[in-house]
Amino acid sequence: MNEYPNKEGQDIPQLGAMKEYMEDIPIPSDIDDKIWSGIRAGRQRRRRRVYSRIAAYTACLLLLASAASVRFSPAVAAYVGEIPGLRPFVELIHYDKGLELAIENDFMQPIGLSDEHDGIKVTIDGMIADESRIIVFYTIENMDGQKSVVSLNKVELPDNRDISISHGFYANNEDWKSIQGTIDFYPNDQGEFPDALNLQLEIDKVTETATIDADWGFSIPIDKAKFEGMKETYAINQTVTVEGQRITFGKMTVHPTRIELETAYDPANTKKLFYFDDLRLEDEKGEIFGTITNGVSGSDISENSHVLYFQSNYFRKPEHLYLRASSIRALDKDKLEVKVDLDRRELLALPDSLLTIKEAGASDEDGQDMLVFGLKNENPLDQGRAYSLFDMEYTDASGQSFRSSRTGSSGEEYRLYIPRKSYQSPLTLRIADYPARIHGDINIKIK
Amino acid sequence: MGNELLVAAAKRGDDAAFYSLITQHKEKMYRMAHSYLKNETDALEAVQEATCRAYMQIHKLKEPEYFGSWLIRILMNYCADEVKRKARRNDGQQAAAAALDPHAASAESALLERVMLESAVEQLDANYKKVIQLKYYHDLTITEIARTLQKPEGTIKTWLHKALGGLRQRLGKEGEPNE
Repeated sequence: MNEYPNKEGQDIPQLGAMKEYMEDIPIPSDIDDKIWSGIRAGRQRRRRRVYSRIAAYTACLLLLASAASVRFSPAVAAYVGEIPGLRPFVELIHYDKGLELAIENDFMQPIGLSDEHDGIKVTIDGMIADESRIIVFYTIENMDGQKSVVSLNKVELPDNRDISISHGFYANNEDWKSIQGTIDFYPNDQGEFPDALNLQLEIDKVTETATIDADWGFSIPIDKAKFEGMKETYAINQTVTVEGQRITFGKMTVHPTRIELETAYDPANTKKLFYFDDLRLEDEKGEIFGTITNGVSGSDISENSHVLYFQSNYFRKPEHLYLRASSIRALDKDKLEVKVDLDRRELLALPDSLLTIKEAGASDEDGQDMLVFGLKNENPLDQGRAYSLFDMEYTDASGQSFRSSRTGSSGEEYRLYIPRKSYQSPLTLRIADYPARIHGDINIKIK
Repeated sequence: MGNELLVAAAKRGDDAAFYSLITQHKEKMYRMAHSYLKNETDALEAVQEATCRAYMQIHKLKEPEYFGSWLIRILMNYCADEVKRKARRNDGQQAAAAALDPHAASAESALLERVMLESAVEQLDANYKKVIQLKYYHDLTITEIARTLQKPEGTIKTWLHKALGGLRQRLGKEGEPNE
């Protein structure tokens, strides 16, 4: 081989001319505007992204806990018994009563598009769609039995960047034959879905260094007539007070795939409200539909107002509907900061004695230190719940802010991984969820 | 302010710092996007999208001194996806082989040579094409290319060697001595 590749290519003089040609391409004057547009878009997308990632993470834990006991309601079991091939998909959505009802009511749009590269075939089997959400069901098949662990690395709609995408992927072993899963799509900011989703997937083989240089691409038609005019809206506009904290429920929108509820907290509240423990919709027969626990569970409108998502009882056609809750996780606003003295491994500020620090030091990952907290929590409401205790952003004593790369929890232990740096102790973390509660009786008649 | 300080400020959410980092590379970004996408509108769109993605991911950037390579990598990934997407939309036709630029070279023969070269480069494997473009169109060193593509320098040298071989063949220079 040539020892001096920098000198190579001199026999192709056209190559040398290319540099000059490139430098002659004029730079348009509005490029600076475009850069600022990019920054604005990045700021917006980053905000959304973080929220749904946290939701997905929590959901993952819940899913692990419930995967062992997949059960169907008798009606769904009967329905999927009749249609061969549908059963595995119902298993994928068994955590959401509203989606089960949608399948039972023939709301699935069959698709059946396939694309194959490098022995891996992806089929888009079908979708459940309405104005607010699309759930795409796919199957990945290992056509020639190659031994490698794969992961769904990238899911993109290049034509529609204002649609949020959320997907999980189950770990597989080397001998896999087929994998099934779902991908969720949500339009941002009251946007609409196009007539077709131009979907691109990238699948990586984890065991090989070289990635497959291919995308699996699909143009998936959306039958909009199937859900036209199905949306129902209710203006609730009622404010309730729980232990002195004011909460306003605004508009509720019922779609077949989910119900959206605008919820606002009074900025003058003395406590920061994190999450409802048992917010639910009940009909006249006492049947309950809870919030969405797997997937996107909420999105921010502003610091104090959110949209919460419920499993949908659209297909039940309830006559009366009540919004009820009795317990909310909340903490005094002046207790939200936790200060960690890194040298003495002590908490200088903390919400209460449930929280302790167990370790502060090196983790087994390169360049990452780790803070390990203990959370003593015997509340039966929290059985099996893993708290995402802190925001990912934190600051040191100099006021500089940093970002944690990941968190972990096991039992009553919570780990925050932080990049190894020479921090000025103490670090200030901000609580994002905590086992402290306010109680009351929220009971609102919606219809 | 040094670049590492700028990156640190950008990570803290200082938009002005982030903007000044991007502007250092804007001409390279635009020209690179232009060489993939062949028109002003798409190239500007690429600059915007790459800026947006860099903004979202800057907290993951581990080596602030290589901000430029990292940014160009983001841009190239976007452009490569765009080219594929267009090709698919045009029913398999090579979108890349599309247009001749109006502000092309003055001499017709130079234009012709460039077009032939570009079309030969377009036919190379994806990695070979990237190496040729980065080295000859955008004047990056082997070290910079290695950093941008996240491959060892040895790999880049091999790719470059093979890519040049492929070009010679396509340009009908096969058989000429190449040492």
